[in-house]
Order: sequence, then structure tokens, then C-alpha cells
Amino acid sequence: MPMNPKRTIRRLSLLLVALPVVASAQTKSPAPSGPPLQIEQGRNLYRVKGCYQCHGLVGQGGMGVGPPLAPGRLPPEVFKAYVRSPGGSMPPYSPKLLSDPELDLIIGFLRGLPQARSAADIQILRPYATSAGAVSGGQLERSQRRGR
Amino acid sequence: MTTSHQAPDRRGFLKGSLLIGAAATVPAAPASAQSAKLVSAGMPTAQLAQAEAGPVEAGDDLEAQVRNAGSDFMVDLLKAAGIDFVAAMPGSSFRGLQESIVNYGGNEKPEFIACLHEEVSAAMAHGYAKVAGKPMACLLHSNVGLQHASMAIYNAWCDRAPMMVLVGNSLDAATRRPWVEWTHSQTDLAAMVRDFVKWDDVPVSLQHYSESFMRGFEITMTPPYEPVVLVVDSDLQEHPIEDRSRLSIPKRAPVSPVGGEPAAVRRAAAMLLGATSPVIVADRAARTAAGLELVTQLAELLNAPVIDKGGRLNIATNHYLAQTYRQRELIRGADVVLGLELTDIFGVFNSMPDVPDRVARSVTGPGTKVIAISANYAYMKGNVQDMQRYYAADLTIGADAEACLPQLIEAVRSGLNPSLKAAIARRKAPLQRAFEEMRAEAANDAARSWDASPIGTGRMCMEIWDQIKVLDWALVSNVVLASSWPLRLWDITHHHQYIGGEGGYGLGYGPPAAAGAALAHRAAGRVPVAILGDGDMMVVPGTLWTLAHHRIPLLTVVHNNRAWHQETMHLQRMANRRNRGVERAPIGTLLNDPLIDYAQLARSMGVWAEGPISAPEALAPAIKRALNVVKAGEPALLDVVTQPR
Repeated sequence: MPMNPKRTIRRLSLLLVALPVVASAQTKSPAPSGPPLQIEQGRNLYRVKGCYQCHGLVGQGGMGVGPPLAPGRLPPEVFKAYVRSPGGSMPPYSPKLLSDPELDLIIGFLRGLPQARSAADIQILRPYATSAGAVSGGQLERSQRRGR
Repeated sequence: MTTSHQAPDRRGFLKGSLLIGAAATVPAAPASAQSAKLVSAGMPTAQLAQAEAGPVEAGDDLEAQVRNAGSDFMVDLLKAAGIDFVAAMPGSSFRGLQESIVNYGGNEKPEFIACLHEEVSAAMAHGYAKVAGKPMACLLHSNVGLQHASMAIYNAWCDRAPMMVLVGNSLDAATRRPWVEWTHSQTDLAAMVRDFVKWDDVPVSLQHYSESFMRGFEITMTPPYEPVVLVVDSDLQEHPIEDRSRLSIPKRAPVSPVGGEPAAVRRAAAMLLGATSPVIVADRAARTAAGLELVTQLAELLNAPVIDKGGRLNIATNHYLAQTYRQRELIRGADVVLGLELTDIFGVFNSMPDVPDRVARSVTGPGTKVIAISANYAYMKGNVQDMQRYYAADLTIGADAEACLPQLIEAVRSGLNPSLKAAIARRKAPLQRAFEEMRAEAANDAARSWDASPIGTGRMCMEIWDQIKVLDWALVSNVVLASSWPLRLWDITHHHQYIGGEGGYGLGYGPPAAAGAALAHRAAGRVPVAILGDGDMMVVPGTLWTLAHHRIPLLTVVHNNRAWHQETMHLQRMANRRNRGVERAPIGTLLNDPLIDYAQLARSMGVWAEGPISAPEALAPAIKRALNVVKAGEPALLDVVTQPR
């Protein structure tokens, strides 16, 4: 049966929305990210392929442009599927533009990033970090604002 | 040869000058009942009146002198309207008026603010008005100056900001000098901006100018506020006043903004009282500090969360009902939404991602009812498309939201009963929890790049906040491109502490609008802070000179991501959509070869500066040093090398 691209995108979008809980659990014990050379190659690809423009140089995300990616917020297979067929305004990366091995290197780089600090550990941010229920990263997926 | 509409021959007007000069030893009596009312409206003092029609001193070259220039009277009008500043880059088409401002008017109320580009002049006026609550004037040099200023005027138009745009011109072709006065003249000068100003006129006599000036002032100050244009004829400026006693300055006649039709307001109140999950979405609703209080009052009365679209500060960011960053879930869960002065009401209730098929999808829940209140329904133009996509609300009220809110609050209050009050009170605790979670989420988001270099925008904004929060501060820039951290995490509680953004999203707004706002804050002794993009800075870098020249205290922090970052993302989107790859997207969108040294740029124009700052731990001490400069009354700039957003 041929794939319906729109339906696939919608499914993946729903999956992505549902994933923060899974992802936040995963960040506690990230999968092995690979040897240093491969991590460096992944970092380079992350820059050259422009991922950082929307998701930040350390995968932190940006308001209205791209959700956080680090460290290892999504299972690799979901991540790969989304990159090939993204929802929203993200441009698609075909295998011609980003091969599977290259994608693996980027995933390895993201998984190798250090665990993000908690607001509670930062003096300036501590006054806000009172609500235990807050899930980091949710906001950044909202409020898409189109550019000029 | 003389112009037919104004100037007498030279000998005639000199005689007039002598007569007026002789009369000027006694205070001039008002010529009419109308002008008698003007003393309280800023009528020129006896000293100014004497200067305007001053006596001729022995030894003067009578044949070459003009004693009572028309532009002196134009200065009387600026004073009468209470205009404190006139921003301008010099231009010969308004040389008469400039000379009158600095000499006849004493360069005080109004003070001439020297700018290096007309875009700066107009954008300064834009930023100033949003803080001062009244317009300043920008003075432009005929068609060339107006073209330079036009983008900034467009931004002010989209942002509903008042502004008096005065443009020099030479109307009478017979008195234009050959060459430049012809190329710098236009028969219908205001035509080039007419699509995005509220009103314009070309006065052909001083009395005509007087009445049009006051008409324009009241029009620009009637909501929806918009810029107005007066074309200022050079002959009118430079020729003498024929008979001052025949000129009068109309009194100020402020126009009350339009309130809501009572039956419609009652219906809106009933809809809000009948809702279980009401939501308020406000954009340019709070024109004044009173507007912020009114939005807050209504929200508290209903326990309705407020989504602040940020055109102005509509509710304090630390109020538990300020839930802007829960927009998606709030809109989806709302049964009644009240929209207040929404520019893009369609965009609140629909999403349309930037994908090829561009299909809009509703984001409301089933059965959501929408009430829309805006002055824009009664005022719109066709060519510029800032009215956004059509949206049919369930109840639309053509009224100024701030003027309508007292009516709505009263109608809601009178419809409350004990059972409703109890139901509304039960909403409070969950909303307080949601607010705390929203802020905690934002703090954790800021923490994600806390130690990164280039510096995370969250770290940059929070390091600034950590030091200004104990001061009398104000934010004078749009911060959307810095991931809106100040709106998410700073306690912005006063209306003057945040003034929104460009309006028309046109670059070149940031530095001069911040300078204009800082000029307005200067009198109150506040510490203004602007977080500005590097791209925006390079459109109008000369603003820095104006800051230094006029000693306008302002902390400018350059969010230097070394790119036209928004455009880089657009290029990437295009390239991958066409399966060509993003590798060449930086061509024409990155600002990195060579790197721009913003601190050096600022220092070259007399502004204290430090940078580039890439190490996060270096930021706090640099901010401290910069704030010391600003607190001492001078501008300062920090060049902070940042993450993209």
C-alpha cells in the first residue's frame, strides 16, 4: 500500500508531541553515543547541515523555530523518520541530502551532549524552578512565528 | 518676483517688520478670542513673541534680512502642541524651520535631535511615542528624506503609533532655484506614504498650516493612533509673516476614543459570564498604563487567562493570569475567547505552517465563540495588507478596546451572582499552578544552553535581568528573536517597561526606536535596555552617534548571532524543499566574513562599548560596567556573541 505522505507527517507530528515524557526518561540514561571521532563528525554535520540554525548549537532549541533535540530526546528511529518527513515548517532532509550514516552520526553527537543543567541548580533561575511538574522543552514547540 | 499666495515684496515686508518691531516693546494682545484661549495651550511667551517680530537694530542690513519668518510661527505651533523633540537629518527644504527651532525657539521644547538618516528620525519618533504617550515630530527633507523615512513610517503605521511627520518641499516652481530644488520637490509629496499614514495635507498659508497642524495632532492622537504628514512649504517657512495679528493657533481639541455600543457590550459580558473556560487575547489593547490595569481587572473578575500578543504590555508578566506561553492549549480548551485589538485575529485561531500547500487549520475546540473588540474595524486601508486574513468573529465590536473595557467590566460586574462568583473563584488555583509550571518550564529551557559559548540567549537575557531588576528599568526593544526570554522570565509589571516591537516587522526599527524610547525615559531617570539583533543594528548604525551626541542613556546589548538568522532558515527551507541541500544557504545570509566588531563601531561614534563577549562567565561583569555608564547618563553597548536564538 502506498504511503500517504500527509498522513505520515501527521502521525509523526502526533508522535513528536507525545514524546517528551519518553524522551525525558531517556535523557536520564542516554544510549551510547559512539567514540569521540564519530561524535566530532556528528557535530560537524550538525553544523554543516544547518541543524543548529533552528535547534541551537547545543541542541537547546529556539522559541518558535525548533524544539530542543539534546540530549537524545527522541528514539533514533523516530528522529530519523521525522527528519525525512517532518511536520510543521521544518524542511525535509532526503537521503540524497543527508545519508543514513550521516544521520546516525548526528544522532550520536546529540546523544553525547552533556545532560542539561536544571534551573534549580542555577542561582538566577532558581526562583522560577518551584514547580516540579514542569517539563522542559515543551514551550519551544509552541508559538510558531513565521519570519519576514 | 514673489509668490502669489504668501510673500509681499521685500520692501513691503520690511516695512511690516519695522512696524511690528515698534509694537513689540509692549506685550502683544491676542488678536482674537480663539487665540486668547491659547495661553494655556502653550502660546509663545512674551519673549518669544518679541523675538518673532523683533525690532530692527541699528546697523543691520535691512535689505537682506527677514525678521519675522513664517517658520517662527511654526515653532509656536510645536510648542502649543507640547511637542518636546523634533528628530531630523538636516535638509535644505526645511532649513527655515530648523533655524527657527534652534534660534527662535531656543532649541528647547522642542529640542532638535540630530540624526544621521531619516529612517532613524522616524523610528525614534515611533519609539518615543510609545513611552511618552504623545508624539514627537520628525522633520524630513522633501522626497529624498521621505523615501528614506518611509519604512519607519510604515512600521509606526502597523504599530498604531502617533507621529507628526513634517516634510519640507518647494511648492512654487517659479521660486525654485535651478537643479536641486527641482529634484527635491514634488507636487504631491505625501502620495508616496499615503497608503500608510492616517491623514496628510499641504498647507498654502500660515493660517492653513496652523489649523492643519492642530488637526493633524488630534488625528494622530485619536485611536487607532497613526502617523500623519504635513508638507511644509519652504516659502511659507522662509518668507516673513505678513500680519501676525491675523494668525491664530487653535486650541487643543482632544478626541474621545470610540467606546462600545451598549447592547453589544452587554452581549459580550453575557457570553463571558456564561463561559467555563474564557480566555482573553490582547495585542495593542493597553494604549496606556490605565489600559493594563483594565485588562488585568477584567481578567481577575473572570479568572480568565490572558495571552499577551505583545504589541504592548497588556498584563504584568508575573501575574498568574499572564499565560501567553500556554496559547495552544488555552485556545484549544476555550469556550469563549475575547480578542482585544488583535491585529492578526485569524492567526490566533488558525495555524498555517510554512509548507508548500499552505492549508490553514483551525486550532480552536468545537463550538468556541469569539468576541472581537478593535478600533481597526472602523479604520482600514486597502493597499497595504496589515489587516491580515479575514476572520468572522461571533460578536464584533468596532470600538477602541481600552475605551470599551470600563463598559465591559461594569457589565460583567453587574451580571455576577454568588453562584457565578464561586465558579469563577474555583478557576484560580489551577490557573496559578499552570502559571508556575509555565515559568518553571521556561527556566529549564533557559538552563539548557546556560554554559554554552557562543552565549545562549536565555543566559544573556537573564544575566541582564539579574542586574536591572533592582533599578528603575525599561525594556525598549522587541525580543521575539531572542526567544522572548524577557517576556517569559522577567517581571515586567509597568506599562512603560515594555513597548512591543516594530509593527511592520521592518528591519531598521530596533536601534532608533530604542533611542527614541530611551529619550522619553531620560526625563524619568530610568535605565532603558535594548536587546538588538546584529542585522538590525547594521541597517541604522548611525543611531549610535545620536545616542552619544545627545547623551541619551541606553544599554544596548547586541544579540550578535552573526547572521540574518531568520533568512538563513528560510534559505534552508527552500533548498531542502528543492532537494538541493542547505550547504549554500549561508551565502548572503551570514554576517561572518569579515566579522563585524560592534564595540569598535560604537566607540567610533563616542559610545562606551565592550565586546565581542563569547564566554558566558564574562557577561555579568561586563553588564555591570555598562550599567554604571548608563546610570551616569551615557549610552553603552555590549557586543554579545550568541546562539542563533
